[in-house]
Amino acid sequence: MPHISLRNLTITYGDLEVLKGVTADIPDRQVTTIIGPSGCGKTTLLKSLNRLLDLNEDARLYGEILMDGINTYGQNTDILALRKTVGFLSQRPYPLPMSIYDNVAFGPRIHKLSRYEILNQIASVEKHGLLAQCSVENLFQMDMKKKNVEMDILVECYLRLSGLWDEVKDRLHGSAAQLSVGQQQRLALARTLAVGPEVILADEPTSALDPLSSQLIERQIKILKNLYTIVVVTHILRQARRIADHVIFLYMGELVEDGPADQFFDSPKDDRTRAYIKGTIS
Amino acid sequence: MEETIFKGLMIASLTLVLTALAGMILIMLIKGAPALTLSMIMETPRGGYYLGKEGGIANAIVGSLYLSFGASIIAFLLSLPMAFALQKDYSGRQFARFTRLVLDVLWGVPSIVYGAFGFVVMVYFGIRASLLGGIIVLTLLMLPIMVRSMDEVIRMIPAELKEVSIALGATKLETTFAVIFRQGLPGIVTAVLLAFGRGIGDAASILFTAGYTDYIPRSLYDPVASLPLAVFFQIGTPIPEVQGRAYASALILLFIVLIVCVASRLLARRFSRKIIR
Repeated sequence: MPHISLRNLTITYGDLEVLKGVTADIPDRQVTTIIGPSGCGKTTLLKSLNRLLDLNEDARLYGEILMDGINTYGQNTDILALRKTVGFLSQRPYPLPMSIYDNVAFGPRIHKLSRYEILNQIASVEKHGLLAQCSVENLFQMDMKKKNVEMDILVECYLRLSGLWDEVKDRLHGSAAQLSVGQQQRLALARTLAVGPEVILADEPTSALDPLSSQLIERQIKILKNLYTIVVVTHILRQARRIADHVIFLYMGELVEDGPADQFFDSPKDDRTRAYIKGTIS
Repeated sequence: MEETIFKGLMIASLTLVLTALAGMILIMLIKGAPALTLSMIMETPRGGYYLGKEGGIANAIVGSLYLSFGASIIAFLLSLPMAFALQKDYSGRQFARFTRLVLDVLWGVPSIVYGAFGFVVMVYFGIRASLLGGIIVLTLLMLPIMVRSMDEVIRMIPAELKEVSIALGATKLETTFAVIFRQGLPGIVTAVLLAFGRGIGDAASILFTAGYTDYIPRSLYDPVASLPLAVFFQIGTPIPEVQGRAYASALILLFIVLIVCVASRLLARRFSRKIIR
């Protein structure tokens, strides 16, 4: 499980300095929320963690992001492996133009996982007892000669893990585009999990969703933190209170305060944090 | 009030266009239908066909199909990578802008210029008018249309969709094939149809390069007849029967385009159920 540390991280778009020398640690197997007003560099910080920022040609990054002590912006970084380890959930769900089943199977297929690797991956998830009634228990009763049976199991497991299985089990081969936005976001979660990441980044994952769907996503995040390191960007303070174990507060590109959630919300040290929590600045 | 005016304007322009189209089809039907017999479709011209005697234009039907399908396939195989190459994942902004401009200009070049260009090149290499020459020139004619239409379709695909695939650890190439191509498929089909329509209906570019013959070509090096030229040659005669056949030929051409359009639309719809709107 990688331990993520930001060391003096500065990111610029052209002349605009979006992040100014941020140094922080992201604890393992906890929910870290990055909060702050719009345009304070939350999303930029998040996207730098799995190098999705590389897609933006204007972005320049200085400083280091250490994962298990290794700089992910070093010269020998395997970007594809990094993105496999660090999954990303975008603000608005974009289902891939294929069936629900194929959406979940997309990652494992791209990475050409063997049957052994797939079963191994599922077993490691199942060890934590998060998959009630998943087919893994019936693994030995299944016809292993059937083509792609391991992919079927994988799809079922991750759809269960993202809390979508019961709603879609009868239309796995239907279009993903026909799901509701809330369902699409949970499908996106399943799709991200299916690659077998250790860290999940979520960029305001509920901002496009209705309250009920948001609640479902939050519930899944709380369940998943037993297995994954989760970083959630949000501008909803109440959401941060509900799900956070650890908080990073950014303001105008600067890290103002970070620490465990209780301490952060109950006894903030910085004036700006106090003002933000009270709602006098936003 | 404004609402009514613009609504009226829309209806008026739509009616105008549709009436013109309907008129064209009606004239073709009235003048062409009597000449449209089975032998017209099934037979090649016999002696004195162009004086109103027996035979058909199977040579031109088959020729047109050979020419347009051949050119469409080659143009498609060339256009798709070109359209992808113009995206900002693969090309610089300046280069893409310049290439788009060139293609837009080529789109507007009259087809007779393509024909003349092809003819000059063929003379240089000592090739005579043939199916091969026709296909090559038609491919050139279709390329700008296909590439630019595909390019526009692919450009419209949201960047976030690419980001999803990249974030899952897919490479640019995997993203292009597995995600972008699928999402763009209906538009890509439209691009091919657009180019096919222009290709099969064009007379000037193949006038010198494909030639004309009363026989169905047996090899790529034989000259080949085509429907647009069949219309052109037959309509210029003073003999009423032959003029009727010109309209019948046009009807056949129209019918081929119709079938190809409907078929590929149905096919595209089958594949596009899962795209994101």
